[in-house]
Amino acid sequence: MPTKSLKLGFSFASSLRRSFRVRLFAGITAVILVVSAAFASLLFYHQYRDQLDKKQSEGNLMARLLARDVRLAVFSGERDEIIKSAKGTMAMPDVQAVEIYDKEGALISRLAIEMEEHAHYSSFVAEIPGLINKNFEKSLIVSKHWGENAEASVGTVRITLDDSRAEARQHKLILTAVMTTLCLLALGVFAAFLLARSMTRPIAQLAACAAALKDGDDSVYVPVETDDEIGHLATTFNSMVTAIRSRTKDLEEALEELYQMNIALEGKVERRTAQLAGANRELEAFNYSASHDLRAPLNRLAGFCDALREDYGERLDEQGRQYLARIAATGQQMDRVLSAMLTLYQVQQRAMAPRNLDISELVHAVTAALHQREPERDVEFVIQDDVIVYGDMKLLWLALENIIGNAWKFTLGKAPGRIEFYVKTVDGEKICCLKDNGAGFDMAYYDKLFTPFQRLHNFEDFPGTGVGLAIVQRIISRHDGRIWLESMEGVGTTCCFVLPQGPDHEENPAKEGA
Amino acid sequence: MESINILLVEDNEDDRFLTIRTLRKQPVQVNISIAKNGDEALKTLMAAENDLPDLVLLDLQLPKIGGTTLLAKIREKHDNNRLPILILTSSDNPADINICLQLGISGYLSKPLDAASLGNFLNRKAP
Repeated sequence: MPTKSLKLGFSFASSLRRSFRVRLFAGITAVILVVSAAFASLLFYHQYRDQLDKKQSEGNLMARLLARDVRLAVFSGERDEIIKSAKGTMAMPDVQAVEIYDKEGALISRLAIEMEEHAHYSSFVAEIPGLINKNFEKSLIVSKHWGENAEASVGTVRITLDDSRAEARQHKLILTAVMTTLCLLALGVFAAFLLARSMTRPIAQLAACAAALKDGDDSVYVPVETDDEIGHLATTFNSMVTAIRSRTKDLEEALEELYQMNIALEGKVERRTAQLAGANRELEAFNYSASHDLRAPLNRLAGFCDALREDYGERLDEQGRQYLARIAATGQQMDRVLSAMLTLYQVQQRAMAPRNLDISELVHAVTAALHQREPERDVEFVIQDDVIVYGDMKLLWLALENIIGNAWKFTLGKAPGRIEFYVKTVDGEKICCLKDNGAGFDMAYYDKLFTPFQRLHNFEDFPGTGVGLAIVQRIISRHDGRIWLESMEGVGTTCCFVLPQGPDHEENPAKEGA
Repeated sequence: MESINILLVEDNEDDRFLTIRTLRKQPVQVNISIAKNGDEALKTLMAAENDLPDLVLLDLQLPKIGGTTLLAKIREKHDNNRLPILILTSSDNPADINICLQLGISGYLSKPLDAASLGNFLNRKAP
């Protein structure tokens, strides 16, 4: 049982903490309880005092009446008269005993009903006055002046009253007061309950609607029942819900629009991709014709040059033979251009197979091939070893062939030529550089460098197709890298490129984020 | 020295002239028959069912029936042992060369035909 009541207490405390309605109800009830208890106590106290006063004055009055009645009899010593008066008083309600004493305090007469043991009794004593003033004759309420004649008294009367009836009345009074209080309390509590409910119902509705709104139901509506602060709150809440609804709608429309735009964009991308694929196919077809249809007549030209030289070379003079050689050389140059075009195209088409590789080894291999081809050239190579980059081996080989080939070509006039390959790190990026002390070029024409068939030197000085750097740039850009050149005429050129690091790169991982 | 019978399939007159000129320069006696397109080549081969040429020189860039298609049709009847074929190309298109190698050829030479290369080949193949 104690645990149960404890639990009950806890649950009440927690609901008091959680529920505004319970708190309000408890508050109002407590106020009513205090007020009605105070009211009942006050009422009861007043009634009690009234009863008490009434009993006192009744008792005193009775004693004094008797005292007056028996005055003459006591004075004259007429015993029968005394008993008669005493009997008359005994006949009054609640009178239990009547005693009359003389001046010396000796009992003259005593009449009494047998007293019960547990009953309560009150006694009232009055002096029997020897002198009677006028006032006393006229009015019985002369208590103020009573004491003045005290020494003139001829005796004393003593009346004992039974309190039981008065007590019964008091009990009845208490009962009535308690019952009234309880009734009032019940009514008050009921009223408090109604008040608490009517006050908290709009708040509860508001709370329920807010919860529903939180769960995504934006069709909630709080009924506005009053024009007070809570009513205003409900109105504001409703307009807020309306605003949310319209904003949600706007958002959905925007989303739909975005979705449609996305679809349109995808369609556009698809069309563009198709166009691009078509353009690519055309380019492929063009390259095919360039390398085949253009090459066939070129080969015929070469064939007839050979035939002419072999069959009629003897009959031509030196100048004729020179012309013939020039025709053949021109054909060969055109053949090289066609090859370069095809290479450019193949670079673009090649499926990349990137991996970590030692680019220093590639540089060594390319330079070795150049030395073998032209062993008479006096060129010094300084190559930094063990440089690892992430890239496609064949494409990088091709790029290096062109870059180093250029350096080799443009250092022709220098003796000795010097070509350096090294790596520098700037802002965490590994920059590969190839520096030569060759002819260099005017940086004003930098824009033309990477355009196919654009040449910055005379063919007679430095032969070439004009496609080399375009091929290199395409290779680097296919690696998502960057390439640039720095040059000064007569001093030399430095070609730099950066290749992005591979996925399994672990060197200086902290710098990659910077 | 025995003579070699060669069928040259070539549409371009200049190329025919240059190829024939180079063939004539070979130390061996060559008898050259000519087909200017795929149809002619098939007809010639059909007619010479019992007297096939020792070697076919085939240009891949032919009008109408292309070189690789013609090669495939020839290979339906005759394999490379019975009828050796040498491809003449203007450029090294790896795709076409691969198709030819799969169908069965004795080799390929780039134009203009180099007398020395052809001589090497004939010395190896000639009976």
